[in-house]
Amino acid sequence: MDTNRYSRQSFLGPTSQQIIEETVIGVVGLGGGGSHIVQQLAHIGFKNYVLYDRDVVEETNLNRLVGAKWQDVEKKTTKVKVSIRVISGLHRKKRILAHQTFWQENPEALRQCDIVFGCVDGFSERQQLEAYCRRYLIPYIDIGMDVHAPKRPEDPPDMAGQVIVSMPGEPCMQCLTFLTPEKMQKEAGKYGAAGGTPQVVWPNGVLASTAVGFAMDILTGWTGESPKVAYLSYRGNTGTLTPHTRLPYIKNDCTHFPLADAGAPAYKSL
Amino acid sequence: MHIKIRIPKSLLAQTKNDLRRNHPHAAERVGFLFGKLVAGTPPIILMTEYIPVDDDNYIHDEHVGAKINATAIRAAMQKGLNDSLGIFHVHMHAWGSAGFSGIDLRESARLIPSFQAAAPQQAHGAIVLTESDMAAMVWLPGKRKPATAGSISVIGWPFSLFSWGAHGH
Repeated sequence: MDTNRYSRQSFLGPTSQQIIEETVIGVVGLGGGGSHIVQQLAHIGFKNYVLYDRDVVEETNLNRLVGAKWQDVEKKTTKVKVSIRVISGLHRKKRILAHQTFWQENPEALRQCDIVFGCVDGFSERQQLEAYCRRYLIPYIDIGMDVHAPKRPEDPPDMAGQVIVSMPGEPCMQCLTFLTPEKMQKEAGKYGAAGGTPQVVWPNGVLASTAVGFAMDILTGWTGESPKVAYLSYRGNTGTLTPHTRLPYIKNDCTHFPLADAGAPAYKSL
Repeated sequence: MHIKIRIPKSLLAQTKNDLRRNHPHAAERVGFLFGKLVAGTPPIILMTEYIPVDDDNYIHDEHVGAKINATAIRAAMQKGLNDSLGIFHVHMHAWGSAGFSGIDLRESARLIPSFQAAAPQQAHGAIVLTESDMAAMVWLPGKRKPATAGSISVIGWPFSLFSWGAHGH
């Protein structure tokens, strides 16, 4: 371990760098949000990754995909390769399990992760990923953003997003009412008609940085805080990131993911 | 083999709260943690439940900190059988680094064949806790000899990692 390299982050604790080097990080989705997260994790010193993204770099990604170059569009470089390139640029020794697939096609590798970042599109994807992480007792950190059309023509578009920490045994994204049957139903109704949604680099940077900050506190406990859950709302129009208004009213007991349901799905005797 | 164990912080707190209670005559308490084995490389054991031993199921014995009767062991085995769960005998030492004494190892080894008979597809074992540390011995399915868990992650905010890997214990 190169101690001098990380001397400026030694406040994280005497064993923090060892913890960082041993931790296995999963990042699902390596686009606008995930590419930011991978870059920051590599700088911090994480060396063990499980990565998923099935896409190649397209021209419309260049406005926000950290590490991507214009040549990647011509070469049809995979987003997974872009992340590997970013990590490799900072670490000689690393262990990366990269999957150019949907995570559901190769979920086994995800089980080995100590923390999973979800940078996926849509409520249904989030629900599946959180459920999988809960099943294997893995902390899940979700980020996402969107730009909504104004309610009145004279108003500007509304840029919003979220950072959520879903800790096994604690309130989940359904408890937080971030995921609801109504939202999923609405999303399912729009299936196939979504088109290209607005995405820009700066909100992704805010959300990714905040998510990485939460992960660092979970792993090192450097702040001395011990919240059960985190749910921050981002408003791009005002440049603010604040605890969600529902947070004080959330019940502590999660009924959606009982601990007894952990592990691989299995038949139960009735 | 580097076996990983994951236990939610709330479940560990529940376990410790029970084990800290004084017993009318035993010097310490014991209990059972239950877990599910996720086969793979490395194998992962997910702890999901804790069951205390009733006061009446402790036997007077001044030679050991705690001795429990067959009823307590049968109850643990029944749960392992009913729910196909791994069974981990757990007790707590007052301070310092967590480690197994000779008696711990010998007595744990005696229980394992019964646990393996109850839930043969699961990993079983023994866990010793202190206020700031923990250690586990694990018998994987079909194995007669135990392996030391390579790491135990206490899942919560903050996370605690007890590792016997690169940076020692």
